Amino acid sequence: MSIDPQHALQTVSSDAVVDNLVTQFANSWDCVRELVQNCLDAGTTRIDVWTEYLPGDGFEGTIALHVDDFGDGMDENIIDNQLTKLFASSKEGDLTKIGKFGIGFVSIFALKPQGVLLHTGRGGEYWEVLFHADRTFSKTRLENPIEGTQITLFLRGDRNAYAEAAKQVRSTLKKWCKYSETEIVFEDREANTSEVINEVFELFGIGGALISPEPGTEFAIAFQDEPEYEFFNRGLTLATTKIAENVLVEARVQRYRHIGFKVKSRYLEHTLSRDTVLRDDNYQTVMHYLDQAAKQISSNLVVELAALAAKPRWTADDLIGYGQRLRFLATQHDRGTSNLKIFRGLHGEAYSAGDLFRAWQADGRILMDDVPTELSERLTKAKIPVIFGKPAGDSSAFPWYDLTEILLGYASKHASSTIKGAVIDFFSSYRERIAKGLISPRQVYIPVSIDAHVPANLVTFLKAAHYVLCRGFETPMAPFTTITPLDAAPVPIFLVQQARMGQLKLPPQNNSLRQAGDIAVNREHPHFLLLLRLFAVEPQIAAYCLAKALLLQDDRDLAMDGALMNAAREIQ
Amino acid sequence: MTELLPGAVIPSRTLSDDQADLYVDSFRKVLRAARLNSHYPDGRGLAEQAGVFATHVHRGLHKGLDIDERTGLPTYKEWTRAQTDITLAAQQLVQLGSRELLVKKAAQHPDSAHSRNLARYDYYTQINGTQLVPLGTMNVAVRRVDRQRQLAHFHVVLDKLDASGVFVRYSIDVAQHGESAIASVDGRDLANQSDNFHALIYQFTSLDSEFMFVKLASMAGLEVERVIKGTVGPFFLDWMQAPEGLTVAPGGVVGTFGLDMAAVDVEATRNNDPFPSSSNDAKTRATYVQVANKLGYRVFKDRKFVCPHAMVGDLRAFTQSRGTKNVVYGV
Repeated sequence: MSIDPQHALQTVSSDAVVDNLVTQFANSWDCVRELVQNCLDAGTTRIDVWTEYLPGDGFEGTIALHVDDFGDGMDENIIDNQLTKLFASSKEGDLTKIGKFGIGFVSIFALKPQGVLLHTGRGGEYWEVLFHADRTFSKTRLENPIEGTQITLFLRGDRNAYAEAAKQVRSTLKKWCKYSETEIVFEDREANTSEVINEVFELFGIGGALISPEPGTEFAIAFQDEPEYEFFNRGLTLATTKIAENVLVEARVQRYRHIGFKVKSRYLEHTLSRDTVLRDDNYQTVMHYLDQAAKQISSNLVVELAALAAKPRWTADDLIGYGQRLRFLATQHDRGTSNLKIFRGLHGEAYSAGDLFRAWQADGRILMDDVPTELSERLTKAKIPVIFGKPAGDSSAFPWYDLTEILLGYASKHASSTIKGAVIDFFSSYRERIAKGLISPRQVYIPVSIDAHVPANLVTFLKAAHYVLCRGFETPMAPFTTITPLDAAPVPIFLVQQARMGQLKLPPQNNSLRQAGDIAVNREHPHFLLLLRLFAVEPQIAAYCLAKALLLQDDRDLAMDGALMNAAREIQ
Repeated sequence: MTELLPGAVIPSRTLSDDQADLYVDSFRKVLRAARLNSHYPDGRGLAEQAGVFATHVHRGLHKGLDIDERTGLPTYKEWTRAQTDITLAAQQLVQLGSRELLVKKAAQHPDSAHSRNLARYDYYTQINGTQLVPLGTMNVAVRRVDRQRQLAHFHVVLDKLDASGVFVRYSIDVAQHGESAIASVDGRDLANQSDNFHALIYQFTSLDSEFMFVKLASMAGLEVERVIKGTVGPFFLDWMQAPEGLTVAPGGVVGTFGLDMAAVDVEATRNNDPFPSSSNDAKTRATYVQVANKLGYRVFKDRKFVCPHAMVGDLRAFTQSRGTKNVVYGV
């Protein structure tokens, strides 16, 4: 055995610099992470971290913290020129190592140890290095073989301090090392407890997936309500936050509001202060892969929605899961791009965003209800989509907002190829219109009795009004029919009929009545009855007023007033 | 005796099911206690795959376990059989269909093929997804790239079940000047290994690290930093021929784990392996010394042991008798 004279930790700078490096971390116990990192870089496949209490003569004893690895170990050259020399790391720029700066080891002095004992061996040399409280050290060559490196920190303290130290060591390992690719075992020998620190690298959430775009980079990614963003290198934590702005550039912040991820990658590095991930070119490579992973789980989400939409019967979990997925899909910029049928009809059918958008374009409405009814069944049979959900206005409205967003996404995608579309998209005018168009069939379809023939006393009047409209617009229209409301609820003066339906509905908004189908007149409407009486004395004015009433309800084509008046004058 | 290839007969002994279970248990404990670092074959993977040999796992579907008498490890045939079963497990489970149905059929006809199918179902269920031990794979990772100097540093890892019957891992740190002797590096710093390099490494896996070092250093454009050869095996069982002076206690298993390193950062050439290595004649040795001086590498050979606690003292005495001091773990 040979003993070397005492040395001091060397640096090219002053003692003040060393002091700063010693206290470089906000939490002194973070030095345990640095020791673990060195173990990993030494190629160990197991790290044993253990604590013990060595009673002293008095009230206080010694707290011993051990970190043992079975990796490469160190010879004298490494001890002298790397371990005890600050900023002399041989790992800088090495993609297979985590450590970079050569300053991690010195952080153990932040705990103010009474001494640090290090045993190590490499290449047939075995050494004991004893660091004193003042950071000087002496080294001794040993005869007996040592595998890897075993470090022991000796701290002064009583049993309470020991218990706190053991707690801090464990929590530090859990915070920084739980996804280590190397097994880490923590043993509290006083409490006689032992546990494996490592946890499975996974992420719970909707559409969760493990994605490895290339060797050395792996994502656990999922949709979440309150996402967390975590970065690791070989499983050691580099950054973890719930604030997207802390780790993502502005352009990505919105996209990842509802996507959480864990990424471990050889490309990622911590900053000198270890408080966040370094945003260099390698970080950009990881971000590129992250976007691909997000796109993949977004696609997975659509596939899962389509599978749920097609499922014959739903459980309560299906219902909840469907709502969650739709909500997350609505947050994605590619939300309207899929042709899969993700919307569930009330009677077992499914519809794509395109199907619903076309229905909305045709009618200005998308029918939505949460309970199947005879009406919804008839509508479905007539190929009119009635999708599952509760429209706006209901406190539990679902999923009208998400549907609006998804259809808006669809509209944006399909409109952005034209200048007009781009302008519409820019002002998001679709959003409000689509949201208004999501409506219950019960609010659209009115229970009425349709007259087989227009009652004789009304024929002349209706023909006159019909003439005014056709003549005024110079457009042929089907003759008016008449109906009687069956409910006590007020029914508007005009309804429209679709040829295939045999069912009357409220006229669509923003859609010309002249193109809406056959027009039916509510012959019990007070205004109609008033005009009927007027027709007996002033037929031209009454016919004009009935035609005008139809347009007023529709609130459009007011510029045609003159033409209508001229047409009314022709009535004999 | 096991015939690996036509004409190539491996001396082997078949353990009975009971013996096999004891062996598997000891094998796994020894590997766990060996604390193998990244220079050795993957100990955890080996232990996991060895679990497939246990009778409670294969449920009598296989009879006995063939042990290579040269190394005390399961034969190549046994490892490949386990790998095939693991690889096909998912597919086999689909083909076997519902367990419920198999249980019903097996209950009706206890001695029929249905019972065997039920055992197969449970076996494949249990081994499905078991980690596979690489019997011959090579990975090349980029350590760093200096594009201005056209210099790329690689870390090469080759895992192989060697023809000698032991598991071998070669770890090579090498720098390459210019184009693709070892591998090309793409824009994302990923290595695409060359076929020639792959073939070369495979060719020399049975040889020691020094030979590999010299061989690689002789290739144009390569600067070799380290070649490390870690081996799992041989294991010595009580019925095997052990090196002179080493007596294995009845029922005991002595695991040995060799490390053979030729590197520019080894401080001095030392041999701490109590087992004799392939000897060269004096002339060849002298040539090696000259080459080592020229290339700047030194060689370190070591071996660690895992044995029953009761044997630790004897084993230490054995290594001392060979003039070495080795790490010995008791289990």
